[in-house]
Amino acid sequence: MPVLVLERQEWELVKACERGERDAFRTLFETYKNRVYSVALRFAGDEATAMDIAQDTFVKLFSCIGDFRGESGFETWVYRMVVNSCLDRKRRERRWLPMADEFLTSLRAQGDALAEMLRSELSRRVRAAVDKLSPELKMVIVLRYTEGLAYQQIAEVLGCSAGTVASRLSRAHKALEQRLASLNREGGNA
Amino acid sequence: MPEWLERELARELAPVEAPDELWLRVRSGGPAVSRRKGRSPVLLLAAAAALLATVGAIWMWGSPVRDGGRQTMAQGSCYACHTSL
Repeated sequence: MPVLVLERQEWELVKACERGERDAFRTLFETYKNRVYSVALRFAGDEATAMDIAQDTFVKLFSCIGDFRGESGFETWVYRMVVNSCLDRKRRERRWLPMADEFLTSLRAQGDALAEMLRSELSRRVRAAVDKLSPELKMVIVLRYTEGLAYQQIAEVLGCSAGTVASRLSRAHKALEQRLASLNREGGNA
Repeated sequence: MPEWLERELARELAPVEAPDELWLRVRSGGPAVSRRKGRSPVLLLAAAAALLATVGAIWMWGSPVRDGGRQTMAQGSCYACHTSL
C-alpha cells in the first residue's frame, strides 16, 4: 500500500538508506537539498541559521528514515521535518535569547542604514514585514510562496485542515497588506 | 490579496540553491552542533575566571572588616546581644 503512495524509485531509495547505503543518502540529499534549504532560509531570514536548520533536518532525516512508513508522500515527510526544525529553532530562540535577539536585530538595523544605498528598499521592507509575522503564519507563507505548495499539501505538512491553512494565509495576507500599504502608495506615486 | 503583494512575495521568497558546503556539514556531523559545543568550554572558562576574580576581589577587600568583626566578638562586646533597650 505505501508503495502506491510513494513513487517506486523513491521507495527503493528510502529502503537503501535504511540499509545504510551511502549513495542512497547522497541521492536523497541531492533531491531535497534545495527545497529544505529554501524553506529554512525564507523562514529564518539569514544564511547561517538556514544552514544550521538544513543540516539539522538532514541529520534527523537520515537517522529517522526507518520511521517513515509511507503513509504520506516522502516529500511531505521531508517538509514536515524541515518545518519542525524551523519551529523548534524559533521556540528555542524565544525561550533563551529574547533580549539578545532584539539587541542583534537593532544592531543589524543600524548596519542596514549603510547598505540601504546598495539594496532595494522594497525588498528589505517586504522581507521585514514577512519576518514580523508569527511563526505559524510565516511558515504558511513560506510553504506557499517559496515552495508553491497547494493548500492541501500545506495542511498535510502542518498537520491541520486545509481550512486552517486558508485562514492563516488570509490573516498573513491582511497583516502584510497593512504593513506594506505605504510601500504600495509610494510605488504608485513614483 | 492585491496583485502587487502576490508578485512581491513570490519574488522575495523565491526558492534558492543550497550551498555545496551543506553536504560537507551533513556528512561530518557539522559545525552547527560542534560549533556550539566548541564555544561552551570557552564560555565556561571565562565564567570561571570572572567568578574567581570576583571572589578574590571580595576576599581581599573584605578581609580587614572580617578581622575587625572577629576581634570585636573575641572581646565579648556584642552590642546587639548585651545591650538592654
